[in-house]
Amino acid sequence: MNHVAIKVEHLGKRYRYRGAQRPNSSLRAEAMDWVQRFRRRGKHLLLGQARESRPQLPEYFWALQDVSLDVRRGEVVGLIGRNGAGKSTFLKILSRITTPTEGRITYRGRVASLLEVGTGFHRELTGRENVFLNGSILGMKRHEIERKFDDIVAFAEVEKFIDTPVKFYSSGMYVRLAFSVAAHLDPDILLVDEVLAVGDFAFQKKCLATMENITQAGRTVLFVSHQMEAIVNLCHRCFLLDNGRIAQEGKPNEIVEAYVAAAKQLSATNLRARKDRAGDGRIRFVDTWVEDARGRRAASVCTGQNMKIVALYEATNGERIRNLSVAFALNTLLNVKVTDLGNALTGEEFTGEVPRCGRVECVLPNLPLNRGTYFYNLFARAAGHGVEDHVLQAGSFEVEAGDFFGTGRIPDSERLVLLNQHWSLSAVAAPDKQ
Amino acid sequence: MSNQLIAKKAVVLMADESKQAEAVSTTVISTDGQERLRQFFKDLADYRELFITFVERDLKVRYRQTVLGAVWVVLQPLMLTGAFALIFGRIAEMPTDGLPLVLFYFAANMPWNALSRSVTGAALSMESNAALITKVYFPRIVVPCALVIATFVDFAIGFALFNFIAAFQGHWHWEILAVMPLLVLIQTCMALGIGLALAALNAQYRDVRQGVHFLVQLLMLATPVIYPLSRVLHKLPDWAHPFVALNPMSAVVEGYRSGLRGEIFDWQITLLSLVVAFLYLFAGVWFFRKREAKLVDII
Repeated sequence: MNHVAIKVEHLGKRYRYRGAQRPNSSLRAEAMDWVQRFRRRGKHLLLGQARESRPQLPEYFWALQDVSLDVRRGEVVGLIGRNGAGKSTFLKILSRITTPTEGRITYRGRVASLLEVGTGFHRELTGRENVFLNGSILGMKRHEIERKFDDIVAFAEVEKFIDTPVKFYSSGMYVRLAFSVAAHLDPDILLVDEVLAVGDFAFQKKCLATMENITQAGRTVLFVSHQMEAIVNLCHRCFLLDNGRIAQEGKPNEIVEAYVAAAKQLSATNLRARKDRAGDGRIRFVDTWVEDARGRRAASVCTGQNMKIVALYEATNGERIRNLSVAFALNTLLNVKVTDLGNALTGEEFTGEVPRCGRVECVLPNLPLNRGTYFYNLFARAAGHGVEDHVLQAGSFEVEAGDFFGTGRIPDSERLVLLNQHWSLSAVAAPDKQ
Repeated sequence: MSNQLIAKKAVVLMADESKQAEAVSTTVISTDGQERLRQFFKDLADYRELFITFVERDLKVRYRQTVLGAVWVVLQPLMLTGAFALIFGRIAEMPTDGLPLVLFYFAANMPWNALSRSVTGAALSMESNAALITKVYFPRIVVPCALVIATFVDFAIGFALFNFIAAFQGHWHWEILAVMPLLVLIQTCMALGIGLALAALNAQYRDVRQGVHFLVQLLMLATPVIYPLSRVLHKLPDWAHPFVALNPMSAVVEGYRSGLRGEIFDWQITLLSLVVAFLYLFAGVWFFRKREAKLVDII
């Protein structure tokens, strides 16, 4: 046990779908349930009737199932998987915010996560009071906070305002103070969930930088990220979660490769057959592909040439659908968000009633993407109505190096995009020399 | 300061601290009942300081940005007592078992005020701290408990005032001080029991938020606040007298009143009330524990 920091045995978490059956649970509904149950039981007892079939159980699903793993002390472990694979649930159980349905976790020492930054700050209280409040909530002892107090304040650079209520703080000061408390927490195990990380880009970057350094300080770290590069660079070991189970375990680069391969395979499966989609489904995307400059279906296109993303949809019932907006979100292989393509953005709106079966095309002239593999999501919504269909990684395509600038020169393949540009150089008056 | 720099600084601090690491404890997250119970008590011990911090927070926040501040603590029961004395005493001419009007009503308002505050506060505490509960772990029971304990301060001020008025009106007896600890214990157990059950319920059913004020009002009518308990006992057959203990607040209110007469409370009903109050407390804790695990997923 001594060298094991976290031991997870057969962990499972079951959730109940909160769907149409019980939109908002009220006391009345539960009371009715009870009455019914008693009546049924009463009938059974009194009249000796055969027990009626049990009421239909609400649908359950397992967010995690039979997850077992050990993390050694000082190890940095990555956790990857698609959205909904159970990563966040796992971290939530580990940080004890929610409880498991089955299984067991043992860990040694104090767990902290960077997503807790600023929780429990009270607007009416002063900076000083909040440091103590927040520190105790995160699990610090009072004497420990007292000892570190000056450091915390100095680190946050709010010495002058430490006795001012935090509601008068600028947002920068607020975040700095909050982060400073978290940074002084001195955890034995650090959980980082980048997916949940709130805040602006700078702040996320700060978290990442802290992480990087903590890693070097020899702490145990559990790292959930969509940035595969970070996983490969920081982690010693990596787990791939799929459908709430551990699908694979191994060296980070191998696991990331497997993950990417699986994603590719997913986008190659028949769109019609895919179940992992959101929206209320009055229309469904049934097929999608990419066409090259000559209008042929293609698996790869060239930088600088015209390309087209095509998606076919079908209406699933008789309802008329009006004012459809469609969006394709473009991501790289490693899930870097490239851009959103959407007819609502360009103003080319599909107003009025749309056909029951339709073909949506998005033309990208002079493709400004560099070499690499790209995925796109399909998304459709109708005005005044919710999301109709949303499929992640519905399709993918390769981009080959092409002559974007018409000069025959091809830029560094590590750069993501190419931009049209114009250069000039002209003379200006020379500064006076005295 | 650049992000990089902040991050570096943070790590240096973390590294420093690691050398003087405190005793590393083992945490068990399990579905097994016994293991959960053990961990529950361990957490309570580990987080006892958080409890104090929460009490402090609740006290500090309550009267911040109020003009009268802590004067409210004194003003509220005084004004209510004045109103009761006028309406129920002078106009409705309710009997007071021979006590002066103001003392008769103040003896009831003082504990009742504390109880209604703590029950209402505790009932809504899970909801008002939802942002905290869904982001970080600590024993959830700490939140409603801290709220109940925070009302002790109000009560202490009220009690001091009570003694002062009693002395002023020539009704002060040492018995008032003697009975207080036991009565406070009864009152706290009852407030915690009801508050905890409602808090757990309110996380799932917001009906509680609507109902709690109403419930507290009903409870007040069921407590001899505006009438003497003797009136109730008078109407009940002898065998039914012990059932008065179902509302332990009756014994609390009457306890202070008997103190004013220089008597020690009715032992039978008071001890029975204590037992009932303990039962409420255990039921409340049990129910809260039962629901606690699922709180986050539904709140």
